[in-house]
Formats: sequence, C-alpha cells, structure tokens
Amino acid sequence: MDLDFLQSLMGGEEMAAAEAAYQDIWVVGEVSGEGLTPATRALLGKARDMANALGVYVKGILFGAQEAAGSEMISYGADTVYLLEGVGLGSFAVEPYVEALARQIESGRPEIVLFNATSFGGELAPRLAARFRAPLFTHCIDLGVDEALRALLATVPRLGGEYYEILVSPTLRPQFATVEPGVLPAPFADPYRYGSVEHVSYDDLPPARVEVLGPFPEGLPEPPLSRSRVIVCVGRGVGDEEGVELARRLAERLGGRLAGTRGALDEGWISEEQLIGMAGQTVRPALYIACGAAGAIQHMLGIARTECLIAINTDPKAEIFPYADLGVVADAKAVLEALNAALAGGS
Amino acid sequence: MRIAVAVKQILDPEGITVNRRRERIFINREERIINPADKCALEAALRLKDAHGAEVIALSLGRPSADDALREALALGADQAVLISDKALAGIDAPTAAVVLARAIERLAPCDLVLVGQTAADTGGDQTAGRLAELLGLPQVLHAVTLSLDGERLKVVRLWDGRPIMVAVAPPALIAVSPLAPPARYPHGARILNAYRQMGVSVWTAGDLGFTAEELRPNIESRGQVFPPERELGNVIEGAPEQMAGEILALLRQRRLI
Ligand SMILES: Cc1cc2nc3c(=O)[nH]c(=O)nc-3n(C[C@H](O)[C@H](O)[C@H](O)COP(=O)(O)OP(=O)(O)OC[C@H]3O[C@@H](n4cnc5c(N)ncnc54)[C@H](O)[C@@H]3O)c2cc1C
Ligand SMILES: Nc1ncnc2c1ncn2[C@@H]1O[C@H](COP(=O)(O)O)[C@@H](O)[C@H]1O
Repeated sequence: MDLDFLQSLMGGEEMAAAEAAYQDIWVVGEVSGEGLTPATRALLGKARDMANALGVYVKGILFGAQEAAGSEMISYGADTVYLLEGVGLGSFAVEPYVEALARQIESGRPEIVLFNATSFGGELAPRLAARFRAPLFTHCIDLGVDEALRALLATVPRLGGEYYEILVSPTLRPQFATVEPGVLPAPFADPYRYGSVEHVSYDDLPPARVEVLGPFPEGLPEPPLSRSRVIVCVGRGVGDEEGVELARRLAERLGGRLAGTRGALDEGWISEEQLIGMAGQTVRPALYIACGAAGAIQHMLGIARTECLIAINTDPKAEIFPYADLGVVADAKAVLEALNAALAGGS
Repeated sequence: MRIAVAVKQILDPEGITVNRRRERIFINREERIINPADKCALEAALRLKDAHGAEVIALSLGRPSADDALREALALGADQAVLISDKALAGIDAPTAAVVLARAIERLAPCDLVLVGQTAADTGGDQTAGRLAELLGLPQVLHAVTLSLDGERLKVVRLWDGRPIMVAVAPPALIAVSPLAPPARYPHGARILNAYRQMGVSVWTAGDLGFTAEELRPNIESRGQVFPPERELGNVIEGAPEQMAGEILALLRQRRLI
C-alpha cells in the first residue's frame, strides 16, 4: 500500500476541509427613508435564530457609508456590519454592486447569504449565485437549518404559491436565498446589543452598463385583468359613480385593478373589458373584493380560482357569502370609504 | 441583429389542482405549454424582427417533448430552433441548467440579444436570467415590459418593485421579459404546418456541449411539500363600517396581502 499516496490524500482532504470552511450568515440589507426596511429587520431576526442554531455569526452588508443603518442592523441581530463603499456604489447599479459583494464573499466565505426578494435582491442574488455556481432559493416564505448537514432549509413557492416545497443543497456553498418581504415576523430591536461596523472600500469596480433614464409616468398598456394579483369588483350594490370611484381608489392603493359585474356594466360604471364572469373574463387573483355584487353563478364562474374572496353586501342572505373567505354585511360605499381612510393613514 | 430566446416547456398549471386538505397535487391534464413569460419574450423578439429585421433563434433545454414548444416558436416566427436534450439532463438543478444554457448560447455566438422569461411559472425560479447574464458576461435588464431599438441602444421599460422605469442598454445584453409584457401573437396557419414539415429543430446532447454526466448531477434536493391551510369559506360578520374595514385589513395582513 502506498502510504505517501494515502497521506497526500488525507492531507489533501484536510486542505479541502480548511478551504471549505464556509461559515456565518450574511444579510444584504436595504434602507428606505427611515432606516432599514421592515423586511431587512425581519431577515436579520431570522438570520439571528439560524446563526444561534449553527453557532456562527450574523454579518450585515450595506452599500454606502450608512452608519446609522449599520447600528440598526446590530440592534436587530448582526454581530458585524460591513459598509461597502467605492466609486459606483453610490446609486444602485448592478455590476459594481455584484463585483463588490462577490469580492467580499470571496474573502469572508459565508455559508449563507440572504437577500430580500425585492427588485434589489432579485438583481444581485442570481448573478452572485452564478458566480459561485451556488444554489439560490428564491421568494422563500420560511427558512430553517438542518444542523447535521449545516445546510439551509428553504421553503419556496410552487405554482405561484398553491403549495410550497422545502429545498436543500447538502454540499454546495455558499447558499443564497431571497425571502419574500412581509412573511417573516417582525423581530425585537435591542439597542444595547454589541457589534462592530466596519468600512470596506473598493476602488476599481466595473462601471454600470445599464443607464436609468428615469421613471416612466405615462400610462403603460395596462396588463390584462387575468394577470392582476388584486381585483376590486363593483356590482350594482355599490350604488353610484361615487361608490365606483371609491372602489377604484382602493384598487389603486392595493396595487390592483377595478372590475365589475354585469349589473355594473349595465349601469355604465365599467367597460366591457372589465366585466368578470361567463360573458367576460376569467381571473385568478390572490385577492378579490366584491362590493355590492349578488354572487350570480355567471359571475362566480369567472372567479372560481380566487385565492381570497371578500364580499361586502347589505343582504345577509346574499348568494355570494357562502363562497367568500370573509363576508361583510354592510353598506359597500361606507366600508370602501373606511378602507380608503385606513390605508391612507399609512397603516 | 441575432437574438437568442430561451423557451422552457412546462406543464400547463391550469391542468394541475392542488388539494390542500389531502396534501396532494393532481395532474388532471398533462398538457405541456411554453412558459407564459417566454412567450412574451418571443413576442418581444419578433417585434424587433418586424421593425428592424433580426434572426431569432429559440433555445430550449428539456425532454424530447420540448420539440413541440420549439415548433410553436418556429410557427410564431422564429428562424431557427435548438433543443438541448439528453438523459443526463433529467432532474437538472437551476445552477447547472444555467451553465448548460449559457454554453449553448455561446455556441450560437455572436448573439446581440439574449431574451429569457423573467420567471418559469412551474418552479418560480426567477433566477436563470441573472445567472445567464453573469455567466455570459452581459449586462442585464430584468422585468422588461416593452423594448425598442433607439439607434445603437435598446430602450426598455421595466418594472422596479412593480413600478415602471425606463432604462437603456447597448447590445450585447440579456433582457428578461416580464409575464406582464404583451402576450404572443397567434401563429399563422400555414406557418404551423411549415414548422412541422419544412423547418428543423437541431438537437444537441450534453456531450455535444462538452458536459459529462458527473458535472450535471443535481445538488439540490426536495425535503417534501408544505400545503397552506385549506380555505374556510362562509364566515360572515356584521357591524359598523369602520369596524368592518378593520376586520378586512386584519384578514389581508394575516394572508400577507398587504
Ligand atoms: C347568459 C348569461 C351570462 C351572464 N354573464 C355574466 C357575466 O359574465 N358576469 C356577470 O357579472 N353577470 C353575468 N350575467 C348576469 C348575472 O346573472 C347577474 O344578473 C349579474 O351578475 C348581477 O350583477 P350584480 O350582482 O351587480 O347586480 P344585482 O343582481 O342587482 O345585485 C346587487 C347586489 O348588491 C346588494 N346591495 C344592494 N345595496 C347594497 C349596498 N348599499 N351595499 C352593498 N351591497 C348592496 C344586493 O343585496 C345585491 O346582492 C349573465 C347572465 C346570463 C343570463
Ligand atoms: N430548461 C429551460 N430551457 C429553456 N429556457 C429556460 C429553461 N429554464 C429556464 N429557462 C429560461 O429562464 C427563464 C427563467 O426561468 P427560472 O429562473 O427557472 O424562473 C425562463 O422563463 C426561460 O426563459
């Protein structure tokens, strides 16, 4: 037996093990007007729990000299925060951000890197994952760890959230994930938590190749109703134009679209294209709020696959109620007014 | 201009029902379709072709049945189609799929544009676009809804956290088209026949692209499925409008709709 060979093999394994010492959980943060975004705070809380289970540190990443947000990251669970600075890291641009973060990951060797599943996270995470030929779990609604494997357990949506799948990569490191904003519980801040904020500077980052020309305010062709996530529907019971206007405003606030029943079409409140049902469109939104709609079968056929149906109708025996996740016996206009007021109040 | 469009064939989600109570997924109708966002990407490529002339190459990695998806792309107006298909690619994971697609696109070089869908409706991966851009060394524009050629540059209206902004990029570039972009045209009857009778789909194996079975082995595993609670219907409440509004908002928060 060739001992040398065996030894070199074992030595080689040790070296590989030393090289493979990926550890710590990193959170790439986002900042809005008042500091860290709520999703970033929640992500830090989750990272803290997982780091405790694995016995490692949580490290936060921010772009730019954001000391205040850096301290905030510590209060939510980070042990160290890196503020990445350099030419090109002022306003967001994909290439310099990816390059700076890739270098930081190369030197710091985290085992898990977490982003919010926002446009910001969605631009960076796939490129970084590709660079390290690493797994990326997107739009996770929950995260956990398999302590034996030291692997991330990622719960990802399938078929647009009809169900979820738990994925794991036993061997590939680092592991990347983006987490859907708003799904993790809000953590507590401990302003007395101890940690350090470090400035890291990169000076030779590649320039951005995509130029942002600005917002695009004019009306885009509206996406078809069939693809709307949120639909506010008016029926005859919404009463008048004013009621329709309140519904339209609610739809806007919720990032959705206005639609209606045959009753509303007959009243001239909506157009043909906005009619939902057998004679109109079939939709499958996450949320459908029906205001003053009776619940005629021809209408209900168009919304059979709605995820969450809320119905507002003055008649407690209205046909629509048995289909609804929540039925509200009340005047549609009054409830719409109250909803708009509550949402305008910034809740 | 030479445009590669990545087209994934998926099981039609409309043919699948998920029974949350029984925690089972039923495939009622095994119909395979072009991923909706990829159809929008094809349409974007064809509009550029109509306006400025272009050679459009549809590319798919998948089982042999993906031939149908590519024939459909040809019928819609693509000029060439390439299917990457091989037993060794079954169950391929996202990191490796992107590497294989990237190598195929390199083989089609020089491409001025690589168009992909933003996300595949089955897995919701939402990552192949960025991965390909990185592997090919291209700038990326994601969530694109309209693109037009303006001199040497492409002007793209894209969504940023749901809001439209306008960006510009010079080819070569990768653009991921949103499923909210204009949907595909209908194929011309004669073209459908042509796509089957006269046009060809080239088939490349993993070996053709220089991969060994070992390199393609998946490294991501499923630990099972989780089903959200079944909906409880018919809960009716009554009260003052403000109170009712509060109840509605509470439900929306609980369901993570706001
Ligand atoms: C072949 C065929 C195809 C059809 N296709 C369609 C279709 O595609 N889509 C469609 O919508 N319809 C369709 N219809 C019509 C359908 O049968 C119903 O007539 C229609 O949906 C009723 O519209 P509505 O609910 O707005 O009006 P109504 O039936 O008039 O109901 C109004 C509801 O509002 C409630 N209400 C009254 N006041 C208030 C208040 N202040 N606040 C809250 N609620 C109040 C009432 O209790 C009532 O339930 C079709 C019909 C036929 C025959
Ligand atoms: N197997 C595949 N064959 C062709 N294109 C693919 C494949 N997988 C992903 N893509 C492309 O990448 C896009 C995003 O996929 P995903 O990242 O899986 O959501 C899809 O819309 C396709 O354009």
